[in-house]
Amino acid sequence: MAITHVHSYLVHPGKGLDESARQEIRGTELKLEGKLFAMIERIYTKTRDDCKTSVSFTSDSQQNEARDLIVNYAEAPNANSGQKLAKRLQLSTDGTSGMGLLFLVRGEEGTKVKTLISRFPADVGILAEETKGRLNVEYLEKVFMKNSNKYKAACYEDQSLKTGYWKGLIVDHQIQYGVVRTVSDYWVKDFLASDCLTTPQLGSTRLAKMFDKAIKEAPTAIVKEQLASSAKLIPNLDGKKVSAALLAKQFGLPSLAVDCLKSAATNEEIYQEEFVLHEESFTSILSFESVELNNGAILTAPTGQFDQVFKEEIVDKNKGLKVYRTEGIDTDRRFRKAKP
Amino acid sequence: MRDLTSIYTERFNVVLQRLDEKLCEFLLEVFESHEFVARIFTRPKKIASFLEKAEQQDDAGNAKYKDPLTEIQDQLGALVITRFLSDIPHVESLIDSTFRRIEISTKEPQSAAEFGYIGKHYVLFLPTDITTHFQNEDHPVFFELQIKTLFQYAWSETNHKLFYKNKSDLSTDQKRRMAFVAAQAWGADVLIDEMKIDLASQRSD
Repeated sequence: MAITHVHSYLVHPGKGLDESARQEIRGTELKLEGKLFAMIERIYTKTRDDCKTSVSFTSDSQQNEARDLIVNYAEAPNANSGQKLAKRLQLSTDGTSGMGLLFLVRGEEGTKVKTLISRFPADVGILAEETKGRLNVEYLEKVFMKNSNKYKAACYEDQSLKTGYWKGLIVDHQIQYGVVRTVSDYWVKDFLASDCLTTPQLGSTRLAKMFDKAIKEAPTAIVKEQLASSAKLIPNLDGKKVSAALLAKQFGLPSLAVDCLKSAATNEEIYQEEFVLHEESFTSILSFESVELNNGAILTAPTGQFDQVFKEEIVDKNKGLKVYRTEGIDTDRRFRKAKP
Repeated sequence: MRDLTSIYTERFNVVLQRLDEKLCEFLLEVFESHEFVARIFTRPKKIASFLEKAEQQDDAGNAKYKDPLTEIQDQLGALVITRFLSDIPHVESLIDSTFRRIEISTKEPQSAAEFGYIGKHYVLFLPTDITTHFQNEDHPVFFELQIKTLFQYAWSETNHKLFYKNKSDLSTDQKRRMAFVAAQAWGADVLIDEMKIDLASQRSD
């Protein structure tokens, strides 16, 4: 069995509150048996499937407080080291996020130490129990569900605790439901003192190149149009956490368009990797939109303005025949070596 | 149990050289459209150099690195060279926006009266764009990146070759000459940069 220790803490929000106003954090060490442990073990084992976002601790001097606490727990998992992490979570959590049940799970995977930190948000539920022909129905407070869209987890695994544990994987269900949301700052930035491993500028540049390549290599005009339409909407998501996979889902791209986008990605990891969108970096790559007609004409306009610059009129839908109209004063005319 | 030499030799031959190529390609792409970069170099740390570093001791005579394979963070190194001092902030800005780091430090003489090594050092995460090609392979997480001007680079290369291993054997006169050369490099950087600004100002007039 890989898991060596499991600790759990009930953490009430405490951000911005004086120490006297904060609720006490109560914790317990779980036995490594039983149904609850079996559930925790399943979550621990499936972290690679669940945790898709790479994050790294922020530092300028190889020092990070959150990392220190996690490494301390991994080195010496006990109530005290766990309590310190729970306290940090309390100080990072405000009323919006509410109360949560924190699990700290430490395991050994060969020569590596793996630490899973997972937070189940509090919810309400109904308990229905059948006894001797009767049904008892009860209202339950403090029900904690992994399926909740506010479930969060972070996982670190390394051979060396001294020089490792600088990057990890997180799951944030608030962005798992095919909807692009702002990154949960309190979990990544406040509690974990981390950031997405891929910077906004790097991720956005890469994403733009992915779309550019996918559009160029798309087999039909319709697929090109589908991808181009999505690409034009992406700048509106500035500051939101995105990935090529999330965007394909968000925009409802048909399967052929998705295949083109996946082919344009280096591999599945890159296709799935999440980062915060940086609009300027994205649009600097896809600055101009061009449409080439079968008569040799190439129409080019700044991305996002193409539809205002060129008015499109469908002449024959079956043949795909269109007329584009535009009006303006000549400001430049030039020859080129190659097609723009 | 395999010894450090054979483990690092295998890592060098199987992983580091390929990682180095990918890192070089990546950096060239990042900096290609920016004229403030004169040259980019990358290198995997040579086996002899790694083993020498792994055997270093601290002041108390204990091994400095208990786990050299994970603790030595410059198994991959990169050097970005600029023509002018005033180009360095542009490089820094591009590095900040492209990479995540765990360390940034400015290496310079401790006293204003001294002249010696100057450079900006980073310990950066290898980006996913590179590590994704090595997913199931044992590879370093970080690489070291240094920024230097052409003059700083010239001084540091010659200094390293001649003096680095023999510092304690140098006479006072030799140390003074070494400092003089460093001062010349520093002065050249400052004057060249001032001329660049002056000429740009003249042209705009």
